[in-house]
Amino acid sequence: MENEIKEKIKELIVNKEVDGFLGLRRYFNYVVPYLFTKENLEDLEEFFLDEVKYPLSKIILKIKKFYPDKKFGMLVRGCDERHLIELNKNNRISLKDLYLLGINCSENMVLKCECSSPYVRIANISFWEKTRGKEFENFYKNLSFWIEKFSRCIKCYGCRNICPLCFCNNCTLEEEFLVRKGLLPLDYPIFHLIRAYHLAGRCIDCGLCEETCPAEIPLRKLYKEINKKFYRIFGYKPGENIEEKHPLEFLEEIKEKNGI
Amino acid sequence: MEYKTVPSICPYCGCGCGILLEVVEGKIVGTLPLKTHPINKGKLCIKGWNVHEFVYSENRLTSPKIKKDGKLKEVDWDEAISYAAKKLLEIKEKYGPNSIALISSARCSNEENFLMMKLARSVLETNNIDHCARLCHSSTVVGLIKTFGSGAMSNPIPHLEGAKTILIFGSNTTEAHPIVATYIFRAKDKGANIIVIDPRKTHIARIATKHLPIKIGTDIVLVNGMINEIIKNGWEDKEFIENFTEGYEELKKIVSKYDLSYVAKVTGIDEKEIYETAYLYAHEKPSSIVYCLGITQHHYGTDNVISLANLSMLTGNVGKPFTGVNPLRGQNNVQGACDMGCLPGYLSGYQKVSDDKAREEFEKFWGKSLPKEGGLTVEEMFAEALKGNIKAMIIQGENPLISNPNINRVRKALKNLEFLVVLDIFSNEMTEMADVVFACASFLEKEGTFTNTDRRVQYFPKVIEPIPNTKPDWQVISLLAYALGSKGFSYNSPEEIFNEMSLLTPIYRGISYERLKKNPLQWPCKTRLDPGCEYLHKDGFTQGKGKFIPVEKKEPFEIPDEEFPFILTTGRTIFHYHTATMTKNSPSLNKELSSVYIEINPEDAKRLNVEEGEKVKVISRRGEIEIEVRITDNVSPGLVYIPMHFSESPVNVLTSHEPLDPQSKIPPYKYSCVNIKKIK
Amino acid sequence: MKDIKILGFLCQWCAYQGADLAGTSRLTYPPEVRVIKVPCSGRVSSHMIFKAFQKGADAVFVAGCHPGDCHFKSGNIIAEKRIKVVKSILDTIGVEPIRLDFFFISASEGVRFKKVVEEFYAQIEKLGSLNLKNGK
Repeated sequence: MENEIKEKIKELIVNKEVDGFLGLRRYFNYVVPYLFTKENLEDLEEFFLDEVKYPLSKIILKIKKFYPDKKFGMLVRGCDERHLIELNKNNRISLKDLYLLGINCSENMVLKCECSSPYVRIANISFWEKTRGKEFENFYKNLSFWIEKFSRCIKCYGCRNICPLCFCNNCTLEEEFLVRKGLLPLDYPIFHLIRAYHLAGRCIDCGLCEETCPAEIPLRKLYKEINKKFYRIFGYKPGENIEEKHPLEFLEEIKEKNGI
Repeated sequence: MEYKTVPSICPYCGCGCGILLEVVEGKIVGTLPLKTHPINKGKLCIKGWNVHEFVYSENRLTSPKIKKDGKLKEVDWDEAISYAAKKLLEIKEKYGPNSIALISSARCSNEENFLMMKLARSVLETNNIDHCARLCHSSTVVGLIKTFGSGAMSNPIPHLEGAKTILIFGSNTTEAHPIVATYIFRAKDKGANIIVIDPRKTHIARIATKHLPIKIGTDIVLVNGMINEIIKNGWEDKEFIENFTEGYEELKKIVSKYDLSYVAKVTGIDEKEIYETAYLYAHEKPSSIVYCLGITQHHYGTDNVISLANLSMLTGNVGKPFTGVNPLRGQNNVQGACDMGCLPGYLSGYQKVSDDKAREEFEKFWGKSLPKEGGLTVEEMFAEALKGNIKAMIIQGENPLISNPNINRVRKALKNLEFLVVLDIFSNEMTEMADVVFACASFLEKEGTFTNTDRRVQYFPKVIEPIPNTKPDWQVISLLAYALGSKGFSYNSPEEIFNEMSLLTPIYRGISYERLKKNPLQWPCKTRLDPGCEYLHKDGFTQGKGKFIPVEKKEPFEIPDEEFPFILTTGRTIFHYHTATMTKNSPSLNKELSSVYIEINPEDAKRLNVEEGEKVKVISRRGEIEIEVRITDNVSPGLVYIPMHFSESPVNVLTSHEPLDPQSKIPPYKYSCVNIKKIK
Repeated sequence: MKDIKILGFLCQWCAYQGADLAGTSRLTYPPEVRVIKVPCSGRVSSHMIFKAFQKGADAVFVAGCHPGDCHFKSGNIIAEKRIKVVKSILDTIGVEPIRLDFFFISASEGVRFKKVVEEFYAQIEKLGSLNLKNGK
């Protein structure tokens, strides 16, 4: 399967359908993100698909900042696709300009990462068979559970740094008035409540935040619960399609559309 | 068009976390965590996330300098190297080789530390080489070698997750070793007992299942009390003691007078808590001990470490998975610097300079006879410099003007030198004092290996070319050695240095770059097929049997009185690294914290009539500083705390350089007596 | 219970006028309820509400104009939606969602203002203080 993917990437680059392709490659015993271009086509030998998730959507935004006029293709899993749909809604990237090479997640991957839709839907081409996602059990914990977890936070900003949907130039979490600086334990739970609010109706459940949290705070489960409630209130689920917009962020747009 | 990510090792602490540097067209633009790294598994602390920020700072040294007419002038490399070599040879001729002293950098690679050691011994012919481990974990090296035979962390960091009881002595783990704390959090989620023994209410103390706010410096009393309880109640591991240890009877005798009420009185901890802690450690196994500078940085630090070793052997909690005596080393390569022999009494691999057989191997390889008698330690170097016996020093990647105790004395000592050479990547207080400054390349601009706190040797590649006009330390040392007349420094790459080192160092003999590029290896790794050693002392100690060495309560060297009524202790915050040479030049870290403060208990603050944010004068017998107040219940009444970071309010003006621990020569950083006065 | 603290955000065009009317009519409401005047209920961000709880409020309410009356057209609409989201977050972490509420109050509703606030206070009094940072 990997050879097919390598061939496809080579084809895209050689036929100038893309100027560069963001994928993964081996480096020593690790698998890391890498941009394949026509100058380094021989590196495609090192292309490798591993059961590891990197914030590829965040990386492609960075690459596009350096090369705004180039066309790119990238590897996407179900979660990467949902990221890109949301980013498109927020005008950070245009899906029209991206070639999406989709990878449906294997059963092993689904076991590791409790995703409800581990497959691609809008990619230009997809590889691997679709498997059924895991339905998420209710995760209700009481206040003392959450406060204990939040109090562990070491203020690494990892959850924000790794989330492809955190792209603000001035991050609210760095407002001294809301969260004091240079303190550990930090001001909790306000730090986490602010982040939770900013992800309500936006988080597409990729799990990168929970994987990167050194304090082992179950962030993904928190945001997932909140988004379930959000759906019940507004009937809106992020990452599904480009047309539906967030009911609070795009209130004026929605009202205009509905002639209010 | 280029975008690539290159794996490397975080330079900011002894955890040795994997990072990915994002590179666009030869420039580093960001940092990501390395998701499949065995230690951090995709997690980083705030420093790790911002490794890339210091690289292109405008404060980077971009040219060697020589002091002419009292001012530093930029010169080219040839002039700097030949001038330094000339002066060093002059001083060596005039005053003898032991008038020169070297301090290597625990932030530089293993290869560079090995070369510093080779420079000192085979070219300058002195054993006066040491590094900052002297100031932090020399107590560990000496104490654990005496009891176990090996001075390094016995179990790997991931084993903490499987322990049922973890005792954390004098370690602000979350702030100083965040990713080690992650494993402790996971252990807690699995139901482990996390017991923190620390006079301050640190972040990890708040997470712990039990916090024992011990009176500062009384750890030996507590541990002896625990040992006594365990023996009294028959909870000791008789089989383990019988098979793997010696000296038990003597220990039993000495601890018998440390009964619960005495221990409670001295340490300030409840009798019930002491009893419970001893019970849990002895019963809910596997049990692990984690400790850091709260144990080592006293003038009886070695004895503190020995008491922990005693406790672990008593209950059979060493030499098995998920157990151990685990010192958390501070710098990214301080374990490596020790391993490489940048110690006055040891060659690489902890082979003594006085051990003729070991020394002869080096003499054969290097073609020179090497000095036999041990050299000076860091504090002794400054003492001798003050006396005028040390005339020249070479200091690499170290800032004693902030990190050594009693800074005013350090400054006098350095001023008294005839010649000072400094190798660094940033201009700072040290480079200002130097006669020759070498502008070195950072770890991202060269390849090499680091050894982290759990003995893991890790390869890091060259990510970008050195900043223009800087050279990697290994090249600088080689050029200097060549100018000093040596022919043994013609290396084409760090790999050649590593190969030479591994031939001479039994515990590294099986390690090579080829193997490291496949995965990190934990020493001892003695042959090409040896997979490395996950945990030490399995089925017996390095020296055969572990030695119980009874230790007794020690008195502080100064006690609070009317003139200096508060006890000051020091430490580090998560936002900055030590003297902040690198982190001060990282905007994201500066945004969080850009100045230090003194932590004062609310009751004391009321009595002193000081407010949050007010500037006060803090005075000790060594000097005084002005610093901002932070009122917090992290410290108990009578105790104050200042982080060590910045030159604006350097806490080490107040700390004392003596008395040194007689066994490890470590200064008593963690305890001094101070007074606090309002500034009118 | 004298140690219940409640913070209210009142929009200056309607709700605050209503509260003012309650005042001039000598209608009392529990003194532990403090109010902040804002230009519009839509100005009240989630951050302010979280900050209020972080600083020790046991309950927070936002009061704005009735639908259709908002001086800025739809500020009150978005405020009401926003409060729903913040309530769901509080609920998820185990804080009783009734500790946060949104009321439509017009400038002429002095009596209703007193009634609404008193009812809210009674509900919170029954729940007790929040003690957020200790997680109880």
